Amino acid sequence: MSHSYVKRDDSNTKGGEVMKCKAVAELLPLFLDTELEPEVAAQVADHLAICSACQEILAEYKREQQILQSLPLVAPPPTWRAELLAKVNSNQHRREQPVWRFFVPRLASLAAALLMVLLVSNLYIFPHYLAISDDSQRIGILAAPGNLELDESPEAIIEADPPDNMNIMGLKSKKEQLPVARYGAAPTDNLQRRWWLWSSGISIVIWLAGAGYFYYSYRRRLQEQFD
Amino acid sequence: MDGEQRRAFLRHIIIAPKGSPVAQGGVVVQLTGLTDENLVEQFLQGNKAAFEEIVIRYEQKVYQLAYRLSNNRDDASDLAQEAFIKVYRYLDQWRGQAAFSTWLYRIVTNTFLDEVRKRKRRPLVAMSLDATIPTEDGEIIREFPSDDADPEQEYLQRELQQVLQAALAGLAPDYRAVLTLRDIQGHTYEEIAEITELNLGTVKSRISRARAALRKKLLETEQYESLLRQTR
Repeated sequence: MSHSYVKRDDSNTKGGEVMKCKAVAELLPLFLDTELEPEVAAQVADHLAICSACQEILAEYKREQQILQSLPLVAPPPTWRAELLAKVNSNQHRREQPVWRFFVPRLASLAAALLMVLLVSNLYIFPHYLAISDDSQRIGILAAPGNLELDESPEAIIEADPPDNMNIMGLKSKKEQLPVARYGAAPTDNLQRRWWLWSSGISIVIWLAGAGYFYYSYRRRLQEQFD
Repeated sequence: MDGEQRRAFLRHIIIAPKGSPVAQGGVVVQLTGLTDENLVEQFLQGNKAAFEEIVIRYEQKVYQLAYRLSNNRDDASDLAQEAFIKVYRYLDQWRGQAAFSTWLYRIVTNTFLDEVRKRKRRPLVAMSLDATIPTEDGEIIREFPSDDADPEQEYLQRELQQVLQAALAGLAPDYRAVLTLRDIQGHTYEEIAEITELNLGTVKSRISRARAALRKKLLETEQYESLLRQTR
């Protein structure tokens, strides 16, 4: 207990320094348990000798402690121990985790990860989703080295149709085949459709493999618990 | 020998699992005379009867603590059982840094505080924890005799106890825990520090604040003062 607790009151000088009631009141609970350092306890005792209000508070604390100590003992119900031992012996105490608590978060996060991979790789492989529909993007594409003609104004560039020889990931950009640059919508052509089928098929296989692995680890965990 | 005697007798005898050191040595150990440390050792060597002995030794104190913390019998039963089940599971993790009893009470208090936290998140269930205290005289095994055998005084005394118990139940769980450990279970400040895993300074300030809070609660209860005046 540090001495900073102890506030001294010089105005009340009766045989030297005496503590203030407020400071004493805070110390009384510990004074009751004789857990104060001897010097501090002596100061509290000095104060108590002259202050009936604090004596009163100490008496209240003492009384409360007495009543708490006098509370009747409570025994466990007669069948309590037998129940406990039965629980322990029947291994019921292995608090069983509901099965879904194990599988749902794992499978869901695996599915989410696969979906992310699918979507991101789709955009990567078929970038015309991203490339078009925004004028700045179009300028970017058209202003690639070789396409840039300095004497044309930006407006003219924006208005311009994509060149016939534009080639994105092997897709010929004939205007009829790839009206992307004009309408900002991607065609679902055969290549993309096939890609979606294959990649989602592979994802499902990976997901099933993950499910199998989780099932295996779940069984192993159960086994460990009951050993 | 009737059933009870027989069970008491059988408690002294180890049923040693195959291959355990006890079985190999063919030693019969009297569990009742062992220290806690030796009992734990017995248990870890595979003598499951040692666990029952531990339960018998501590059920009273653990149940009492659980009851004062949770304030009703059902919660107390569950809490005490859960604590002992944890002991059963994690006994190998007790390395004797603290006394066994300290470790045990720590499990009870922590289990209780965890439960309180869990219930705070799902407040619907919290009802039973703060419910008023039932008075079931049937299972109270010992009453401290009051100074005078006056039945009216005894009645008032019991009323007073109930008021105090209600006030204690109204305190914050942390305060209730330290006050219960201090005044009802009679632990020293050092023991409380070990049980709650707080440092001594924190225990001291927490107990002071708990006492002050309890006193404030009691001063708010009108009954209390009149009861005090009548019992004096």
